[in-house]
Amino acid sequence: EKADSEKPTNIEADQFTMDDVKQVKTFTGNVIMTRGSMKMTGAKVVVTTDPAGYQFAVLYAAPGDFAKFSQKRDSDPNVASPPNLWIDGQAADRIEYDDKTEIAKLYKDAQMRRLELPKGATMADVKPQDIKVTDKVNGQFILYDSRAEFYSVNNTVDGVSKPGAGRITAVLQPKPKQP
Amino acid sequence: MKNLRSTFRLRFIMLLLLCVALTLGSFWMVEVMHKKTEEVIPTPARTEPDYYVDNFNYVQMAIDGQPRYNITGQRLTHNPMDDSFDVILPVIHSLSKDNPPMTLRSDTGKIEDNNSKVNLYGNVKADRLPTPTSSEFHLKSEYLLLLPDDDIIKSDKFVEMTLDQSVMTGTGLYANNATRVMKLFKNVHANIPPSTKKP
Repeated sequence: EKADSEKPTNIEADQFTMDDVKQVKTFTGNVIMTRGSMKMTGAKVVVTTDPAGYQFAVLYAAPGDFAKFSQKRDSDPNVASPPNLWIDGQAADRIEYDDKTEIAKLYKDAQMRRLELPKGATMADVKPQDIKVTDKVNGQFILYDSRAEFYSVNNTVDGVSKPGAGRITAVLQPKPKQP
Repeated sequence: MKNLRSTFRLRFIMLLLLCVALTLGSFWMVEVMHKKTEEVIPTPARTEPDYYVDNFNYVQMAIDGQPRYNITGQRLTHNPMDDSFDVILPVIHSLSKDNPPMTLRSDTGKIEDNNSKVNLYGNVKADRLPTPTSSEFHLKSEYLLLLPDDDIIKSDKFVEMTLDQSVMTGTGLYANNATRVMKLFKNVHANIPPSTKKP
């Protein structure tokens, strides 16, 4: 959600290395990165700060595991009791997140899901069976603009769709009719 | 007549032996007189400090004669056993031009290996003011090892450090002020504030 960008980022890891000259901070060893409602987990995070102060984070997956991220979505302000909407994504290679454009790029066996959680629940405390998946998208590369909540999917890792390079699957649930 | 000569020879030899014994004896006596008493009885190695300096300022120069770092403190006590110094309330400033100036202070310190290792114990604080090329840096810990000649600080204890506005804690630190590389070795927690510049 938009409010996330004003929140501090908390990172937990096993090791930390920083090169002050290049302004590169590297966290390694089951890294958990949280910022407001957004949570990212992976084997390694490399955070680079550009001179303007914007942060660019690359989250690497442990071999055989996925780099995961989940975030609460902004709910429709004029709906009376807005549904508890979330989005989560995972990628086998890495997730790149650019703080300036608030765009996340997921590389290799990427998957994004739009979720609806029971009222008041968050991804941390929700029971798996209560998660309702409204949309699910798989592909080799997914670009997700969290500010515009728009995502595009390609079937090759370098973000360009080539014919014959594999299928993209998308499952879009019908909108439940408002009672 | 014959036994006169043999008795004479016998008596002569006896006399000769006596003189030889006398000269050797006197040599020995001279030797003993010259030898000082300390060398004879080994004195126990001195364990107690042999001198101390109050309110001192010790400046170490680099090879080119420029000041490299200085250590001030309330009291510097020299231990002859391992030629180390114990310092009360040490304050260390790195003065070399090419690295951002860093200040370290603690309750007590121990300088050893002819000033190449400075151990800092108790309420250790390291501070570096921001320079155009390096971020502001503050550090707190219970123990810190400073290698002043190569501007490196190390610790195996819990360390809390702030870098610009981010606060980081962890156990085990290596920070090289010359190459400005910093490492934390165990259970790292970092809190990075949101970047203030928004479009």
